[in-house]
Amino acid sequence: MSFVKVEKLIKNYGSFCAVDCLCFEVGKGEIFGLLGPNGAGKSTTINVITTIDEPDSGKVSVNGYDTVKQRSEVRKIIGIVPQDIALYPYLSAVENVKFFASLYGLKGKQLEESAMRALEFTGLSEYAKLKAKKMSGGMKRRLNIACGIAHHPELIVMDEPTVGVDAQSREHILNSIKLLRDKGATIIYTSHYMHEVEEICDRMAIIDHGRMAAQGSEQELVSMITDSKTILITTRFPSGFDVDEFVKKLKLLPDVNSVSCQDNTVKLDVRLAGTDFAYIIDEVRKYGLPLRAVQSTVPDLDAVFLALTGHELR
Amino acid sequence: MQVFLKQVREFLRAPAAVFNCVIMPAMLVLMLGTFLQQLDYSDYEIGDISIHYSTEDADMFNAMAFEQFITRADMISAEKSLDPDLSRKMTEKGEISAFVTLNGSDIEIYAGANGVINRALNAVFNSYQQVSAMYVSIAKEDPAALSVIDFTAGEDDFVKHEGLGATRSMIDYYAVAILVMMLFFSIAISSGDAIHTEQSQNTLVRTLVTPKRRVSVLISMMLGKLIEAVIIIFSTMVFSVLLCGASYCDNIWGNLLLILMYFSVSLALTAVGFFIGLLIKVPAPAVILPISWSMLFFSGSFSKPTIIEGFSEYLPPYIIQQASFSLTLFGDSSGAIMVTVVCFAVSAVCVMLATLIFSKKKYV
Repeated sequence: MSFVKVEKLIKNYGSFCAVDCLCFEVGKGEIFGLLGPNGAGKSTTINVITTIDEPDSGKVSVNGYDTVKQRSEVRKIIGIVPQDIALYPYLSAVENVKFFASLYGLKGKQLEESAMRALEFTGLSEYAKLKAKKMSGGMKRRLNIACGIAHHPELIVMDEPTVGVDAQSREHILNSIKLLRDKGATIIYTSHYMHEVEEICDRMAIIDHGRMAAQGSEQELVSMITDSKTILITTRFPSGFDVDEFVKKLKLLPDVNSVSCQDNTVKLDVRLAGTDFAYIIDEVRKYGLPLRAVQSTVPDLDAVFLALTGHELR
Repeated sequence: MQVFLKQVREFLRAPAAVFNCVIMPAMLVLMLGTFLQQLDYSDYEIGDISIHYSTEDADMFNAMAFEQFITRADMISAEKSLDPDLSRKMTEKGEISAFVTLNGSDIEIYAGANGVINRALNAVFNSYQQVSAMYVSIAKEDPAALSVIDFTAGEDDFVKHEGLGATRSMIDYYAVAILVMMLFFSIAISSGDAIHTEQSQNTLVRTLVTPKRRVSVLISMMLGKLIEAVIIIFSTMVFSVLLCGASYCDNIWGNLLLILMYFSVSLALTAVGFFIGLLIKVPAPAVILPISWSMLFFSGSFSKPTIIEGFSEYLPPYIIQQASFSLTLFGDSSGAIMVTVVCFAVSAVCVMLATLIFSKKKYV
């Protein structure tokens, strides 16, 4: 059963259609990525899921609770990490976390422990007493996350949580998100950083102009635009080596669509469905050729996005 | 409760809190207090006023009455002028304070260079003329009535100090005006800006998507702001008493009623501030500051001559100030009770309206 269900969601702002008949489902314990350029409708979708806004038509439910009719039930089980840092500058890190967690009913020792765990989780336990105002951008981002997860929500909605952070903080944040998933949380993650989505999301939806362009796992999305991948093998052909014969032999191997050779590089176009290509390497070795480099290239999400929407993400 | 505690904690941590609660009240009290104390001292520093007078151009009765008055006046050492020109020259040189002549029933003062003394003499002789005119009027209308007036009555019978309690100074008036000023500037504006501040730091939406009801969030925020007002009232009162020796009411019940009135005023200003803040789209200070300033200006909080009769009497700061004066100086509690009741009523209405707007408003 899906934990989050978005059915034919439509949301207009005046004459502008922000979300146009969007449908997707997020399974429990899954990291689901919402991918799209600015203005694609990601934040609007998130606003409806988190009960900040109401749909014009369609239905959104979280754990079976309708986000309009059972708003308070939905609010009890969600945690939100907004795109813009939402902290009280004059309160310390732990005070910020404790305040937001307390709004979900946590109190006393439980509140104290949860707040400290959230800070520890985001690598801020050393800075618990530091005022938010005095923190660096990356630390604020991490504190922003801590405030959204301290009350142990079943669904965590993260709206571009890594915007403007340094590489080290980003890595920490992405690892933390994976850990949250491992602990059983369901996560909806929006970003326009392709590699982040590739790295952490189990499944994803590509949204453009408020419409669903595609959804599925990364492999499923890639397979929508191509059924092959390229393997480049760099070697050194000895003098007098029969390259044509070698190419003919490679072409006969299973899942190989085509083979070409230029200088000391062999380029193979193989079917995407096949996952193990060790037999190709073995074949090369049979000819006594040295392996200088082997490179496998699969179309990434950038290519998928470009192919599906006709334009680049940014 | 959590929102309330957060609000108070945040207020106490912000540098603006130190300014609002400590620096501003202390500065206002200290500056005005010191200035007003100087004014009080100036009365004593005048000392005896030596004048020369001439009654040559007055009739006998007027001259007698004038001489009797001038020689009995406490602070004035009067000598009959032997040579008017000499007296004028002595006035110019500062050897005497003034040369006063009685022409018929008119009094002319050839004043010296000391403005404070000149004002004092003007007041004294203006009073004398008014009283004289009254007696003349009675004498014309009903001469027999003069026979029942007790001319032997002393000065002490005219000015009664009994019942006013504490010895009053100018700071007692200004302490009240400062308090009203602080509330209108500080509380109304910060309340009006509270929601906008939460919005600008993105914490409002984050708070609203929690299971907390919007009404309870808003009321907690209002109560948090009310604590700011209480701290400001307390610090202003304490500073005015400790630094300048201001006196409010001379009994505990009067002071309690005064504090209750200021509390109700703070509550009303908080509620009105929130209501306006929710109603308008621009930052609240842009609207509340000019309104507060204008009301205080025309209520005479900064300077009395700005009071416009028939208009100022209806302005809230004026009404609150007058109620405070009546309570602190004369022990009259009716105005304070009326202000308290009206403020509670205004608060109730504004809280209801504000919660209504807040619960419907979208913050996307």
